[in-house]
Amino acid sequence: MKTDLITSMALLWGATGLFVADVRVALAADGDRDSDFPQVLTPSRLPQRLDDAPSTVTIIDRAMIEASGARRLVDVLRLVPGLQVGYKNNSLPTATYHGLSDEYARRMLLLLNGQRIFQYSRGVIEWNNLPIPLENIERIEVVRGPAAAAYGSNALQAVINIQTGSPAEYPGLSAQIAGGSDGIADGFLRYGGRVGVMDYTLSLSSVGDSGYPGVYDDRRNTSLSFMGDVPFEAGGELKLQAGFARGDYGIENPESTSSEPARDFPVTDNFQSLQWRKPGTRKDEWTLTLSHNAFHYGDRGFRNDQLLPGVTLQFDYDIEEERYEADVQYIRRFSDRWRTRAGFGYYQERVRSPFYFDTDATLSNEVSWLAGHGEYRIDPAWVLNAGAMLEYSSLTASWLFLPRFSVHYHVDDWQTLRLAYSTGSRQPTLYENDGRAVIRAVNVPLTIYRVIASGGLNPEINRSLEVGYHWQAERNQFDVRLFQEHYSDYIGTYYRPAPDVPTALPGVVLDFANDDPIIVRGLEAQWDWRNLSGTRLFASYALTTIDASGTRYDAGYEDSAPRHGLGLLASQEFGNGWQASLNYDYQSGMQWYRDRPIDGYHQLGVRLAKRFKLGSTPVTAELVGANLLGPVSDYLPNREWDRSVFLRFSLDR
Amino acid sequence: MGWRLLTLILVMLCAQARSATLLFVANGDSPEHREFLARQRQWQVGADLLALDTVEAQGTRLMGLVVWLKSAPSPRKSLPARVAAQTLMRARSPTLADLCQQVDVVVAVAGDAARAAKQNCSIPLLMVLVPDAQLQPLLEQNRGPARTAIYPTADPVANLRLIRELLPKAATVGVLVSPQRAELPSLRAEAHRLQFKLEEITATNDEEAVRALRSRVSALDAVLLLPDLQLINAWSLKPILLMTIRQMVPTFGGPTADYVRAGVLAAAVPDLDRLPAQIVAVARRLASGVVPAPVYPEATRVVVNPTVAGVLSIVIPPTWNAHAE
Repeated sequence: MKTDLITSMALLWGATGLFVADVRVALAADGDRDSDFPQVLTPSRLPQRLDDAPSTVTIIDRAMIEASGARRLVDVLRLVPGLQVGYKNNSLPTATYHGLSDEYARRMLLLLNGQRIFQYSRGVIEWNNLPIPLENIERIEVVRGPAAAAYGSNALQAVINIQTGSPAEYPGLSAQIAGGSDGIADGFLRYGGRVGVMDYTLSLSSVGDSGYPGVYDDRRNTSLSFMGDVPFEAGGELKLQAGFARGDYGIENPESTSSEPARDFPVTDNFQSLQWRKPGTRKDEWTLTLSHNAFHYGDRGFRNDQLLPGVTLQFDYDIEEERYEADVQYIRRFSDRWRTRAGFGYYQERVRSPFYFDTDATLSNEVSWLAGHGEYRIDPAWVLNAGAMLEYSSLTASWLFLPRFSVHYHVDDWQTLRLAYSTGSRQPTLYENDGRAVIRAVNVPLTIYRVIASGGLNPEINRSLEVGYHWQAERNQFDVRLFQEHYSDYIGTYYRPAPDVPTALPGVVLDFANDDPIIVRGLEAQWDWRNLSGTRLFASYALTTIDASGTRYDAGYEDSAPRHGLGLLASQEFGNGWQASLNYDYQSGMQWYRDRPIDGYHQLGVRLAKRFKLGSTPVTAELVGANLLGPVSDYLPNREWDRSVFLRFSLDR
Repeated sequence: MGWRLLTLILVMLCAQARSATLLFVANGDSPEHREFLARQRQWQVGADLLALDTVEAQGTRLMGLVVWLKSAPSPRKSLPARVAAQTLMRARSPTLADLCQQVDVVVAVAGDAARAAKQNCSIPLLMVLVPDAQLQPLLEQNRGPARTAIYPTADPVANLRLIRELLPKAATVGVLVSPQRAELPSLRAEAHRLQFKLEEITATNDEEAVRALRSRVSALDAVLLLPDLQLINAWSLKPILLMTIRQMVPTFGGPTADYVRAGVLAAAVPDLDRLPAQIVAVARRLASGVVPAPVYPEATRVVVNPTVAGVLSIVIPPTWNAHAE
């Protein structure tokens, strides 16, 4: 019995990192007690206490996701201080941290259970079409600030680590249906069981709505996902994950200069990953992860024979991308004071798009890295963190050294002061470095250029310095930080003359170039509070200022983040299974990169839920309303989300 | 360690008791058995007990310990039962049935020994450290000699008190229960006394327990795990701990202290150092013809997982450090 129990507990390591020390305690025959209590895994990939982590973290848990009434993952992120969410199109939600992004935001890293995934050669995250249903997400850790010392490229502004539950948490059948205004029609099915020693979960999800009022931008995202955990008798486990998602979108662009018609197109994502975790002695552990993911944006565009007399032009946006990755991690505890992590990895990205690269060939980029992190507890009050990554990219043919340091002073059992320096990086994407976006004529030999990348770009680097204060007592937390981020070699866009080729805009093409430094300063605070009468309150505030006065290609950098952002989620449990929640956020005016300014907005959502039993089956009924204060424009001034209401029923058997 | 102390303390306590002869039996293949062997030399030099390497019980190999309660200045000379037992051992490998004829009460340690004693002995039986699920069928009394037990786990109300100690402001405690669970009335009464709202989450098996808790956990201030292996076991503990810790909800209790090492915040568990006193007291009553009802261990200790306490930002009183595991 004891052996079984300990084996079972050993699995908790791989699941979340929450229980590393507990497993060690359980495995220890007598009294080899671990004085640390890990709480977050994402900042350094070394399970740590939240107040010892070298970065500031916002944790969104399952209860918050449910209370928010969100139907899409990206909307949950509106609670994170300093993070902006916008929809230029219903098919393409965008999230960025501290602005500086267009609708293809590519300066944050998205992880699934700690694995780099869903992020391809363009750096863009397909938030709508992740093959992970929202219902399987138990926790989201958002590292606010650069974390390239742990993750390398793309961890420039923030890292978002989506953590699903372990398959054992979902035994039996769960089902959910939702319907409401704006064409909302969602469904979800999940079954969890055991085959031999493997716990598994299979989930099928379909989410759809009609998007912006009056715009042809319907969407339907359907996904199928599998998770399996296989424990080993001698300790350790194998985690299997796979998913497939298809998005079917409608799109129209009335402002297009190329008479772009409304049309439909599909997007598909799929991923597979295998993670093997092997404890060594009581003091160390190995983890090997292999993953593959692929993406196909299947918008075959349209033809136009009006722009040039006698010429039929083919506009095409089709792009296929793929990534293979291997990652090895080793964690070792040298003493109660001194813990380390080391790792190395390799990934290869491939992309093929005749119309974005003007070639039928598949282009690729290879990245190799070596990283380490150490946590040293000088005494009960003082903790030091130091880590670094050495990264090589074949695209830039250069090595990057990306360090991070932090010092933590525990004032008492609850309060901690920290000083942290961290770096972030982003390798140029294949499109930024080698892109040649074209329009081709189908009846005459003619190629018209929209984009010609000159190449030779340097990676973007973010050097961040922060001073923070953290307080935590039981289930309540408060965190505030002052920060400054110094972006160098920011990759901006500009139009340059191209006299030698036919161009879509008269005489110019779009190109990419490294810009001069941009400084982002601000203050961020978050408060997570629960009382013992079933009240939960999460509040966040961000003050962000951007200084881009010295840049060459300024296209609204300084306005690309709202000066003030406020988020509030309050929920209350009443008796007899009733629960109510309120979700509010405010954002002052801003302007997404190279787009038109939008005004500040207030957004209010409410949710009323009732749990009851239908026979012996637990059922939850929810009524959710969004944008109740009126229309909201979060990306373009002429596209407004209207009030919406939907009903949702969930059951477990 | 626990078995060694248990045995030593039993020796001392039995030496002070009045005339009665007890036979302790334990599974010969268990870790307890190995401990038993390791202590044999010391026990044999004692005046009041006799260790038996092998006791046959219809194919089950048990270890035995015969203990004579003191009744005269020199018990070694005045206990014919001891002579009879020694004779038995020298003559052949003694059977449990034969030995039981020489003693007043048989004390069975853990499940295999309890089953063997029930089948082979027609004298009063005291069962200790027998898992809850095995104990109930063994206690079912039809005809035959008296049977009783000291439960292997602490009284669940002790864990409710522990929750109040560590979480003075807690209001709602969830408890995973099988329908008709015997402890429920006393738990309800104690929860009322401690001003808890006891949220009873009913389940009939481990999967159902996980599923039922999942939808309720965020509304709870603590979760109490009863020693019910149908619901709380090595499989279900993992998802239960994952979902509770994520929601910063501490768990208490469980069948053994191993559950605390694995991630339960704290539990009251039997104090094996002090259990022998209760065993001897109950055995003496059985020997005198009284049949006491099964009882929980009178002496308990608190085990705490300081790692989990840290994760949950729950401050353990400094005076508890000696008991932390």
